[in-house]
Order: sequence, then C-alpha cells, then structure tokens
Amino acid sequence: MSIKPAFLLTLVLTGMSFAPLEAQASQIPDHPNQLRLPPLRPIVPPRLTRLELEKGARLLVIESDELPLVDGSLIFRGGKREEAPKQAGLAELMADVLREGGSQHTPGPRLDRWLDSHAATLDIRVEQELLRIDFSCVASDIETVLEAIGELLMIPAYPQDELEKSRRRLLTGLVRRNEDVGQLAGRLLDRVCYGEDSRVARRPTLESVSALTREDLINFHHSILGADRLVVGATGAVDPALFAARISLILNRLPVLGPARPHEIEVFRRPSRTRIYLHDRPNLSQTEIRLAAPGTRRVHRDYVPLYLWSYVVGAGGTSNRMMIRLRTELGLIYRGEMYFAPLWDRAGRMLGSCSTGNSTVGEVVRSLIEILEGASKPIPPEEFEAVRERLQNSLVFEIDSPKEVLERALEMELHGNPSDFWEQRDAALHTVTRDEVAAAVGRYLDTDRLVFLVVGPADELQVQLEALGEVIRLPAAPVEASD
Amino acid sequence: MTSTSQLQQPCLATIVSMGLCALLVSSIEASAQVQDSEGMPLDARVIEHTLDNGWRFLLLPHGAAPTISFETYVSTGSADDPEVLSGLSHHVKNLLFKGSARIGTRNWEAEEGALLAVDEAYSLLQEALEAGTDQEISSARLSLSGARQRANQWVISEEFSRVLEDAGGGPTLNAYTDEDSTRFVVSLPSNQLLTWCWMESERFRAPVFREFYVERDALLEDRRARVETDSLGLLAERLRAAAFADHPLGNSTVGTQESILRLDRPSAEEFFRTRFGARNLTSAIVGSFDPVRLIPVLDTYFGSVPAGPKTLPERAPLLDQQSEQRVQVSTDGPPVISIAWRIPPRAHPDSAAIEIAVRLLGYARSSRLEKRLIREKALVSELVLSPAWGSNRRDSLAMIRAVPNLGVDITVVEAAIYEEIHRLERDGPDEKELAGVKRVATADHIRSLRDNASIAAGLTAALVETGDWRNFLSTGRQLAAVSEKDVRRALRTWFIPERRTVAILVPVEEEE
Repeated sequence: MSIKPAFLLTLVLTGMSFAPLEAQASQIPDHPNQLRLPPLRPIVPPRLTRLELEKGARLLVIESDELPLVDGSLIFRGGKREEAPKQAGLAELMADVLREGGSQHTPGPRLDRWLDSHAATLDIRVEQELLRIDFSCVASDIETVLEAIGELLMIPAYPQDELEKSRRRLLTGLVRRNEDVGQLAGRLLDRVCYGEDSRVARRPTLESVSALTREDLINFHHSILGADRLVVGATGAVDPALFAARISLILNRLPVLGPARPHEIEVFRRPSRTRIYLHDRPNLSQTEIRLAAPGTRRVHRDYVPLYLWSYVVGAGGTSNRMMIRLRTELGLIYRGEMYFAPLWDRAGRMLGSCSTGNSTVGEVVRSLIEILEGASKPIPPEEFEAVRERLQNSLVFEIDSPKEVLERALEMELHGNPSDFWEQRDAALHTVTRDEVAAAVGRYLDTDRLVFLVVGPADELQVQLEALGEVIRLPAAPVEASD
Repeated sequence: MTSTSQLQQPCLATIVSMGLCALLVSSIEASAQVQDSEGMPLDARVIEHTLDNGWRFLLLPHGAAPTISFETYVSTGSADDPEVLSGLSHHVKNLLFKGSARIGTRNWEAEEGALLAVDEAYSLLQEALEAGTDQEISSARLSLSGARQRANQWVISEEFSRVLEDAGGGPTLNAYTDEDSTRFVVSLPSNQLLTWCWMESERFRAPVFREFYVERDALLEDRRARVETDSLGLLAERLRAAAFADHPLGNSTVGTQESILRLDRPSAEEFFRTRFGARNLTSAIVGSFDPVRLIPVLDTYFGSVPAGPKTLPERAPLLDQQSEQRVQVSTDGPPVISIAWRIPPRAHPDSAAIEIAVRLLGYARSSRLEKRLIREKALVSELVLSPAWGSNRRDSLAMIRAVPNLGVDITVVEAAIYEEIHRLERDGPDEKELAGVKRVATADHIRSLRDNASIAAGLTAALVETGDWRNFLSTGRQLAAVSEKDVRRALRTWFIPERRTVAILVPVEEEE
C-alpha cells in the first residue's frame, strides 16, 4: 500500500471528523448500540434553479459538472387518463409510434442511428397522469437532442407501417401479460377496488388496440402536448439560461391547451365485510395474495403518521412485523410487503402483497388480518422510536444525488404541491406521536372490511378462505378474454 | 430550425468527418480517467488494504454526499454447492442475516444448548423418515417442533437486519447469490461507518444459523415464485442445466425442491467454515470517509475473522461442450426462445470483443437484431441480450431471448437470429457502427461511475474476477480497443453451433 503525499494533503484539507472512529479503533464493544457515533455531517442539497417560461411552462435545472453529460426530461401533464374509455391503449401506442416513427424530417431509424452513435438516449413513456420524454447525452450534443425532441413534438411522422408494428408488439404483450401472475393480481385488485369500468382499472384490450387509427394517434398527440402543461427538468453539465433559451424555441411552436378537463375521482369501494376475491389459476403451485384498504393523499395531515406506521408493519426490509411473523417465524413467505401508498391527486390505498404455497393460503390471510388487528393498537414506544430513527437516518439517500433532488422537485411542480413539501414531511416525522399514528390508522383501517384478491387453484383455496371473509369467485372467462 | 437540422444525413456526415464525434468521446473518455470533485483520478485514490487473515479491502473516498456504500464479495456461489445440496450457498447467504452469539439472542448460553437439541431432533426425524414406523415419524416431528419452539424463545428475530435498517440502510440492504459469488451490499449515512464495521465483521466471525429450518421453508416459497410459477425463470433454469450438462455451473441457484429439503444446519456450518473464510472475502468501501483513519479500525474489527482453509476443495473440471443442446419447456402462454452460447471467463482476452459483439447485435435501438427483427421484419415484440449471464470466473453464457410476435413461428425467429450473427461475422461491423457501439458502451460505464454502490460492485468484481480492480475503471478503454477483426474473431470462435444451447417455451397445445 502506498499513499501519495498529495493525497494525504487532500485528506487533511477535507477535514472529516473521525475522532470517535480513532478512539474506538482499539476495542470492539459487545453490541452495536454501544458504539459512539458522530452526528451526521449536514447534507448540502445541490442548488436548484427554477424558471417560469413563456406560455406557463416551467424549467428546473441542477447544474453539476461531475461528468460532461446532461440528463433531462420534458414532462407533460396528461397521459393515459386522457384516453376515451373505448380507446384504452391509445396513449401507450401513441408514445411508441411517436418514438419509433420519428418526425417528418428525421425518421425514427435515422434518429436512432444518430443517438446511438453519439451515446445518447431518448425515450418516451406514458403513465396515468403524464407523458415524459427522457434524454441523456454528452453536454455538447444537447442542442441537437433538443432539436430532435422539438421535431417529434411539432412535426411527428406517425407512419402507418410503424403504427402496425407497434400495434403488433402491444397485442403480443397483451396476450402474454397474464403470464406474470403478480401483475395479473395487481390488475384484478384494481378492478375489485374501483370497479371494472373505472379509469384506474381500465386496461387496453385486443379490441380497443385493434380499432385505433393513425388519426386517433395524431389527434391525441395534439390534445395532450401543450406548452402550458410542460415541466422540463435537467441535471448535469448544463447552463440554466442557455438551456431555457433552447426550450423556448420548442415552446414557441407548441399550442396552449388550457387546463385539462377535471376527471372523476375514483372511489375505493370498501365492502361491508371482508371480501376475498378468488381468481382461478388451477396449475399454479403458489398462490398470489393481494390486500387493500382505503388510504390517503400525500398532501394530508395523515400522510406522515401512516408513512411511519407502514414501516412498523410491512414496508421495507425484513425487520417489520409482517416479515418477522410470516417469514422468520412461520416460513410461509419469502418476500412480502404491506404499506399505505398515498397518491398526489386522489386518495391512495393501503396495499399488501405476498405469495405462498397453495396449502398455506388460509394461514397467511389469517395472519395478515391478525397483524393488522395488532397494528390498529398504539405502537410500543421503543418500536416507534426505532422506526422514526430508521426513517430519519435514511432521509439522506433521498437527496444524495442531483437526479434525486430534481425528481422530487419535478413531482412538486407537476402536481402543484407546496415546494417545501419534503421539508414539512421531515419536520412532521420528527414530531409525530404514537397517539397521532394510532388515531390516523383508526380513520382508515377497518380489519373487518378488507379486500383480498387471491390468484391460485380456486377449488383448493375456497375451503381455506371461507371462514375469513365473504369469498367471491371472479368469473374466469370474461376476465381472461379482455385481459 | 428543422431546416438546418443536424439530424439530416449530410450534416451528420459532416460532423463525423470533422472528427467531432471522436472529440466528444475523448471528452467522455478523459473523464473515464474519472476525476472526482478534488480533481484526482479515481484510480489514484483507491487504496488496497489486505489483512493478515487474507480479507482484502478496497477503499475509495468519493462523492460529496455524506453517505458510504459497502459491498462484500464472497468468492463462493451456487457452483460450489455440494452435489446433492443445490441451493446451499443461497441459503447460507440468508442465514448470514441471522446474527451471532452477541446479536439476535436474548441469552446465548441457553440458546446454544437449545439449538443443539434442534439438530439432534432433526437427525432423529431423518432416521425415522428413513426406517421408522408412522408413529415414530410423527413422534419425531413433534419432538423437532418442540425443540424449535424452545430455541426460538431465545431469539430476537431479525435483530441483525434491524440494526442496519435503523442505521439508515433499509432502502439498500441486500444480498445476492450467483454461480460464483455471494455478495452483501448496503449504503449507510457516513456517520454509521463503525456500525457497518461491527456488523460485517460479526457476520463473518462467528455467525449463528438460528431459525434454520423455518428459513428453509421460506426458500421453498422463493423457488415457487422464481421458478415454478414463472415460466421465464423455469426456462432459464433448464437452459443453464442443459448448457453445463452435469457440471455444478448448471446448478439451480435457488436449489431444487428435493435438495432444499435436504439442507441441514451442520452441513451449512461446515460449508460456511470452508468457503466463507476471510481469505475468500473482498470488500469495497466507497463514499465519504477518511481511509487513512479507517485502516486501523479495519485491522481491529476484521482482523479476528477466521481466515478459512488455505486450499479449497478442487472444483470439478469443466468439459467443453461438444454439440448443440436443445430443451423444451411447456407453457400455458405464448412461445419464447432463449439461445445461449458458452463463452470464456471474464479474464479471457476475448471478453471485451464478446461484449461489443453482443452490443452490435442488441442493446441499442439501432443495433442489428433490434433493427432487423423488431423494426424491419416485425418478427419479435421483445428482445433481451446479455453478454455474460452467470459466472464471471469460469465459462459463462452469452444469451439472447426473444418473444415472437403473434402468429410468427419460432423457427423463423431462430433462423433470423442466426442469419444476423452470421452476417456480422462474415462482413464485420462497418466503421461507424462499431465506433457508435463502443461509444455507447463507454458512456454506459461512465454513467455507472456516478453511483457509489455501482463503483463498489465494480471494484470488488474486477479484483476477484480479473485479479486487478483497475480493470473496472479501465473498462471504457478495453472496450474502445476492440477492432472489427476482434469482433469477427469472437463471433467465429464462440458463437458457433457446438457451443450453443437453445431453450424454448412451447405452448401446451403445440406440443406433440
């Protein structure tokens, strides 16, 4: 081992506080809780520049010159939720053909060759509430990449042959999608919670995808990609003012669409008594189990109490109550989780998931109910404080890279939330009490009115589940046909 | 704006001819001598420190955030599992979260006796199962269950994981097993450095495999989830087994059901003593810390971890594959094809050329298989390529998996894949194509250097698998050195029918 003098100098200058480390180098205590740890050096989050651009667009930039690369995103509010009910799959197909087909000036294959030869990437993906164009490139290519994105937005090609190829891929994916039992269970859970016809539960079908036309895609493109719905973010070797000027070139030619029309807010239909929906998959050796109860929005006083409760009960890692009971003590599951999943625009749900051998499904469902009954009571002080400490200790990982800080800020911007949301959350995490957690849980969790969704060999499962709630067999044929 | 688009072909050509692209790449590659914020190249900052017991540490102060990523690479994996105990190394990996005589127990003296009683009851049950009457079996089961309950009363469940999770490691705490390695990872706030030293040294000094049999039951659930109910998982398992015939490299990492049920605590302890000694361990610590001050701490905490035996049991010799292997797995769903070629270990001089060859075929959108099979001919809906799937220290597999579009025959897809490989081998990549792929590969590598955990993984793997951690930081240069001739030679040598295994998911109704 050799240490160069210049290196030593650097270390001295950076002056990290390690006195406790040295003091403890000579002996090992009997337990890690006897270690004397220094306080964490405060993290200095990277500086975020926020600019309001013309036509209502917003730009968020974090400069960092670590590498000569730029990562960026153009995010439009409005995605799958804007589809008409009969056009499920439209947003997904539009995004795919837009990317594959390229623009009228630069067809997709040529764009791909250019990007690949410049070590750049450009992806378009669509979610429920947004469509996002993500790119990554060498800093000096930024102008060309933004130019390509501008072309895609303003003079898209949507060639018929690319539409047919994309359609074919999407249809193949639809036929394959029930192969993944976990995903199937997730889709079925959405249906039983919100109703088959709800926007949340709606999925593309063979019929809806087959009926989509090029004109549908083009109309949809122009109906959701407006300047006033755009939020742009970038990190890396990028100058905010120069970047803003280039984005303005795109904005100049994008329409202003006005606010999106309000959407119906889906309501979780809590049953009058616990229901266990059963979807028959006779050949499985393991049953997939899902669980749901009503939850809350993120910007809500109950968010932090339920967040902390989730880590006691079943979020993250293996030392929560669910994993200790079902894996460590009973050996019935390998992985699983149970937590409140809040949403920005509407109330989320409490969600649980795991899988177990077919003969132990009844035992697992019963245990889950028992865990939730136990977790409806106040959390013992020691457990409560340990989880609070755990969450506080891991906060640094939410802001230890410019990209993470940018993503959090983009979320605030897109959903119109207070920009100090995260600071408020951290403060609330510091002060939230056991009683507040117990009270919040009481408002959402009724262990006699849960929704379970189970995918496995129905005949074998029915008898195990009957004592635990009202068992409802989902009709296999219609679900399979449209799924 | 569009009228002057640089995306137009002539303009692009101009850029290329001006050598501007090359300039940009060299700017990326200059930073691949990657410097940190203090301006010192990364490879000059890595400190290698080896303890007397053989445990190797790589220390790299890096990044501005007050966090540290840790990885411990154990040079033992599922290819080392004893013949009838596949899944053992995977199981031991999980057991190394169960604590020690100092953590995870309320009273070690009492627990130790109770654990011995569990072992005894377990072997009595095995005897009864082999030669006992029904009554003897059921009585042995009862005894085992009682012994387990008595042992469990002393256990503080998941205390080991809880300490690391409470320290802030919850989002990253994990461990992995593959054919050659078992890896333990976590990232912690930098003030928790001593917590990691305490926990990681304790894990390997004298772990206690408590809750052994219940953890074994959980393994069966893992196998059901990853293999039995996942057709792609089953396809992968069958493909490996066929590609490596009877060699342990073809072992199922998660283990077969029969072998999982054969695992017992004494075998696991023996396996641990033999294969998880300090001589077999390499750790990387990457992030915000002072290595000079850390070294005495490492000596104190890790120095007393047993070294393990000087020589390990001989590994079974790996024979060359002689002919193409084909396997079929039936499925309720649509067909899928996986094709794998036996390729040499990572340290082999052809490795960089193989990676570039696979990237020319797949990976990027304009690469050959993507372009031909997905975009031009619309034969497949999904392509997955892996340049080295599995072991990096012994023969590995280069793999292509394709999902045919509805109505496309799988034989057509298979033939089209071979045709593209043949064309690339015969004509070689053109200059621009090769330059582009190398640039993307280099950029991917550089992007991975932004993350402490990726660097820790890269450094440990390069040291163990190639003998020098510098090979991780110089990945970009190795890839950039690959020539058109290298690519053709790699394809001609390794991507031949005799080294090939083809596994197909066949819909039930199509089977004969």
